[in-house]
Amino acid sequence: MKKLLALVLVAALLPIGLFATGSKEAPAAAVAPVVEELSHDELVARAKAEGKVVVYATSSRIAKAAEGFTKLYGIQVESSNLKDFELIEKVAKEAQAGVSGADFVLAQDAGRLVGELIEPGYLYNYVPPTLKDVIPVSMQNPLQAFAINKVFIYNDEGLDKSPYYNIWQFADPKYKSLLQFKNPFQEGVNANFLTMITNDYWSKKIAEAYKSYYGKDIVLTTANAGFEWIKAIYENDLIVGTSDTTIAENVGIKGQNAKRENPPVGLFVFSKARYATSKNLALKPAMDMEPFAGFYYSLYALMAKSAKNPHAAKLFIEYLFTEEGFSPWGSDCGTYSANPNNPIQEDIDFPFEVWMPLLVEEEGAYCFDNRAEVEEFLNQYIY
Amino acid sequence: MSAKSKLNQMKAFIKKPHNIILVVLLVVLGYLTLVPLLTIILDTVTVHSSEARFVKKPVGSLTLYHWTKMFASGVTSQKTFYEPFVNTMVVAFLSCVLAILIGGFFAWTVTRTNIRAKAFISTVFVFPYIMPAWTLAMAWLNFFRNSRIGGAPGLFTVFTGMETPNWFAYGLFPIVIVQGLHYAPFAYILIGGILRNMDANLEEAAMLLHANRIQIMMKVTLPIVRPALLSTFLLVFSSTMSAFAVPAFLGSPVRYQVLTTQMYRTLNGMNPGYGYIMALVMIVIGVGILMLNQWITGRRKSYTTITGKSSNISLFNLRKARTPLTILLVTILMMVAILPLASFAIESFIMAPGDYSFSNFTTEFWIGKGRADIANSEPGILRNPSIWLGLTNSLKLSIIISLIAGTVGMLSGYAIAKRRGSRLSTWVNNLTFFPYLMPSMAFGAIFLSMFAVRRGFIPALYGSFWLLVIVGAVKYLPFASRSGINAMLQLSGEIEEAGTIMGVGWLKRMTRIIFPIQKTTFISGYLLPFISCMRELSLFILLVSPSTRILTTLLFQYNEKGWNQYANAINLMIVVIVVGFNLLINKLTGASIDKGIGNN
Amino acid sequence: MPRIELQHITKKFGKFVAVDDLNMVIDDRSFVTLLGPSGCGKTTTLRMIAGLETPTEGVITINDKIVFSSEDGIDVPPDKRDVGFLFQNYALWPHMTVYKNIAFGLENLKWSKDAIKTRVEELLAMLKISEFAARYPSELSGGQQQRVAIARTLATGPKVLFMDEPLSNLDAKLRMEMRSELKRLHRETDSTFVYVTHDQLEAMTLSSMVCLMKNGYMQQYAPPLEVYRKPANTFTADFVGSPNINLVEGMVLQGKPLILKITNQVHLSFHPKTDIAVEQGQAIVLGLRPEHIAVLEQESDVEAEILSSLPSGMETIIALSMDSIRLHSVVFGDIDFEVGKRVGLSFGDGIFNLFDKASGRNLGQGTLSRV
Repeated sequence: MKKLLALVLVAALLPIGLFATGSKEAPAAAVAPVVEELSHDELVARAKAEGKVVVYATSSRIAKAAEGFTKLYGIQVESSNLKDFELIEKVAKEAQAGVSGADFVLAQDAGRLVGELIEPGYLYNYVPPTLKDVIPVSMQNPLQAFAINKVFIYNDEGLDKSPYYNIWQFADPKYKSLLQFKNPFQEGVNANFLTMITNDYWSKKIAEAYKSYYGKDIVLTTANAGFEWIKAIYENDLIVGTSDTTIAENVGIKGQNAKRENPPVGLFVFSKARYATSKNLALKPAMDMEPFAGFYYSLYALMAKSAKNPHAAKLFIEYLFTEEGFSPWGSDCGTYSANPNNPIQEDIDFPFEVWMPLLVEEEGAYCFDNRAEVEEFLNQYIY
Repeated sequence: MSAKSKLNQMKAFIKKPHNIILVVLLVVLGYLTLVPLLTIILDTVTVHSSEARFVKKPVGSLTLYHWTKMFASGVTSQKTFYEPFVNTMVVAFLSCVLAILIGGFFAWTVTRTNIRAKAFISTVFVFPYIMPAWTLAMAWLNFFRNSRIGGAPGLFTVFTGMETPNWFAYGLFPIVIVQGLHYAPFAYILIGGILRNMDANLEEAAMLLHANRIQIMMKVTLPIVRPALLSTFLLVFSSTMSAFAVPAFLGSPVRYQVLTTQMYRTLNGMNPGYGYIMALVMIVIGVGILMLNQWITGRRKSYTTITGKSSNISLFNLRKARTPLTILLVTILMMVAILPLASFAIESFIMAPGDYSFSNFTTEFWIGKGRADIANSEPGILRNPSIWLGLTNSLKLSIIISLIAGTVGMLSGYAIAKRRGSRLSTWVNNLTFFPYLMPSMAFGAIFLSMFAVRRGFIPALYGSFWLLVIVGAVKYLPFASRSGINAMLQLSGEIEEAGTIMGVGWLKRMTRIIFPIQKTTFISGYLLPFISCMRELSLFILLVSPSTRILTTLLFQYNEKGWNQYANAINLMIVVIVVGFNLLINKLTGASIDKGIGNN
Repeated sequence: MPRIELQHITKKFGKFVAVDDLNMVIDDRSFVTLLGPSGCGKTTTLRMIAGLETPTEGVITINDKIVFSSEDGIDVPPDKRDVGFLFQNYALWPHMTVYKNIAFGLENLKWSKDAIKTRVEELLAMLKISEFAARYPSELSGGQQQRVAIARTLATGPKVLFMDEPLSNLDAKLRMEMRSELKRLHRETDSTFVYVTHDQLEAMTLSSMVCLMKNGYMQQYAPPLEVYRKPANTFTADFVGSPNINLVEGMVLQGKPLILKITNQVHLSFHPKTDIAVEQGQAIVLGLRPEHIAVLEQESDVEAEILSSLPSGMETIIALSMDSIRLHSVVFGDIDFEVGKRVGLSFGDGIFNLFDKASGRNLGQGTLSRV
């Protein structure tokens, strides 16, 4: 009996030895397929022959765009809305498994996209030939479809002027427990922003802002002024949120300013400013902040190596830059097409050229190299 | 022993169906539980693709980086591991105590007294367990939020004008309350089973020997149910320990972190190695709990409380307290089970949060076409194709999983009980229970990486519906196997033997004799996986793909995006479906989740 | 002195009436058995007297003190009724040792440690279980558990002891032994025993009074031998005695002198001890105890054929066919009979009971002879 049990146990454990470490490592970076230059008509023809396209996107509005795309070309779209890290995880896993998932992605979090999906070759860049001269070159590699801004927005009920003018206010005990910001570990772009402000350029700017706010030079206890500010705002009881929508509602609900010393303020996507009218909230961006009014990040449109329907994917990417393709995003403020010809919501929004100088940019390579260090640093203060 | 006699012995061994069941289970479960465990261990010393930069080693190589960072790196370890670890233990312990106190009190009142409205209490009391836990957390915020996070004041503040203190609104206190309430029905089901099986004569004997109520409780009832109660405590403890969503919603405004929230962010973020260590720590604690449990039930003083049927259950006469106590319990139930549901219902019809004037009511979130300025043109849930897909998937998934887990659980219960005491049976018993101890999220993550590639004859299951099925069936097997074992232990072996002697085949014995006799217990074994699956999130969150999305992942997404009206509507839908299903099964078969999974 | 009185006790479970208008008096120091088939309400009655069950209606008096009255809303809890209760499954506390089990009641009465020790040891000795004091119940055999349960019940010296089928879980030999043990305890403890059983032999051998119940109604309440000799109705006649009484149906052929027609061939003359009011043509049932039917080789009162013979040494049970009516007879001594043989039956000077067939009521007693 004992022997029998032993036998059974061996049988049970055998697969472990067999499979436990099987093909875990990522395959070597594949060379991006040679991009065939096709005429637009040919592309449409081939795309229609494929008849279907699968897209993963971090924006839920992809569904709306998909409807328009299907209407226009008669090509079915299977779209799914994933969170940034889910998308990265999924694409990586699928590529490693050799499973064909998405044909292309509309993804955010440059920091991880660059290092984890583009470098290993799971995703590759494709710029529609028709747009090579339209999209600014700086946005072509990797291809950015849209930029989205997150800015300091406050409750402007009963105020004609922003009470917030310097980011160091949020580190000042007078403004304790005030600023609301989504958990940077929950959304990569927020962590990217915190990473970016620790670079030389922004840390210098932040040090200058310190001087202009306090009238004296900053005394560093950390590597630079960027780190110093991060530490200071978290130690000043920054309120960690879970969703920009909730933060927007919490900041914007009317009737709060009368009861509080400082009007509520948060750092979240500008598109929520629309709630001022649609949900009767009081929301206004503080655009004159020193040294920045917020940051922006991009949604990248990237082809998947394992695409089954590459032509339909390419056609869809091209479609995203047309006015119609952009409209699901363009119908609201806070999203800016890389095609400068696409309009914005002029009633409350500004062209991206106006925003850009006010905002911290997102540099994929820098983020990928430095974000781990910033996250380690955050670990000490955020929890 | 000659070769021939060995061969004969082998033949005799495999001729018995329960031996085959045990061996097959040993192999399959060994594969599906031990391999993930080894994978987790391996993952704690491996460099993952996102870690290569800061570990400064190639992807896939071995490293002790994660272990040193987690346990021996000063402030980092303190903040990322030790503090959340302590918080986890505190939260799990306190919520567990609360769950057992509430669940135990309700169980005692319903099984042992002549309280009124038993059917109502027993049905409604399980609602908080059916609802996804974090929706209770959302309800808590609806009621008790304060100005710390700004926004509309909570209903409590609206009605009383008092501002709730931070400790009351966020962090440890509400997490314990909400989790305690969520798991109280679980304790209720388990303790109710114990009490139903405990012979009332034991208490009566004490009463006749001049023991007063308190003495009976302290000296007789509690000590007798203590081993079972302790098992319940440990089961609930390991559940609360691995709960994720509630701390995520209620802890973050005051940055109260527990292991699961840390695990979620690390597994999904830049350093999954940390996450795997946390998962491993939780598994180790779980296994410790299991061993403790076995030690407790294996001691000299232990006894089974099963007496077949407890004759002459006399109900404790509450006399004058009967009506007031009924009113009290029903009121409590209204507050913890009905009120949140009502608040979800109301909130799903409100445009701007916090404004309850009639003009602010809208059906947009149920049947609207979707407005670009509100929630990115998301259509109302009744005309939203992705919700319908999620609903179909959820139902399909839950039904298939409950069929598999229930059937396998029944068979394993049968085989384990048949060979009780043998080593093979003990192993399989532990293996069927092991998935219970695996934190759901880590379990999901492991299955994701295990089955992303082809494994022998198993094709790459990544993104397929069957991956969800496997993971769910394994994870919920413990529920079903527990009720299977209980059902079999209560059944005398002679009943089956009578069939064997008459030459009735095994399959027929199972389907015509054993199953019909213990129908209700077995059906509970099917029901519990179904319900758990309908409201499960963390197990599936990493595994769903666009075509396999389920209701809870949609719900969580909506909650995270802050589109609470959609979320509330879906939540209502889940509760209605599960309650409806439970009622239907109850009408058809007499089984019901509140009747429970027997004693254990 | 503890005298127990039940007046108009009724217990309903929903619509089901478990006990219906029960009146009885249990005298001090008597040994009363509640006897009846399962579901007859005997256990419910016992539990109502003990206070474990609340009657729907009626009054219960123990020792002249009203412990329950539905009208006055009195319901004295069981622990205040000073009664002991022995459960069918013993209900020993599995987490306490034998010693602890027995000492429990005394501890509740705040006895001193030494006094408890003396008392428990006395009981252990009395029930011959001293060597098991440190064991847990699960480590004892059924008979030993039974003794512990008895010791526990007796420990506090209750004046009334209730027992719910205490011997039903024991094997035949042990049961026999425990029966005499109980009888001894009854005498030694000097208290009132109320005992529930469905085993008529137990009731007959142990008790001083038997209360026979059926479907919630009391059928007869009398000393065991009286129940045996003069059953109140056909039910009690049939329930008591082994082998069973022969209940033979017939009709009154003639009033005075009373002649009964059993079959067309068999007519018997019934000589009542007291006056019996019967009408001609009335359907009756004649009760014949097997031992009162003598089987004779020669011609006798009636003729019969032997269907089977079951000798057990001390006695032989014979099945007979009397003009195709089946009868049982008991013959004492080690005799065997030849199956198929024709024999004569004599009713000698046995006392027989005559019942009304419609109501089952006992009409009166008398002797039988051939017409």
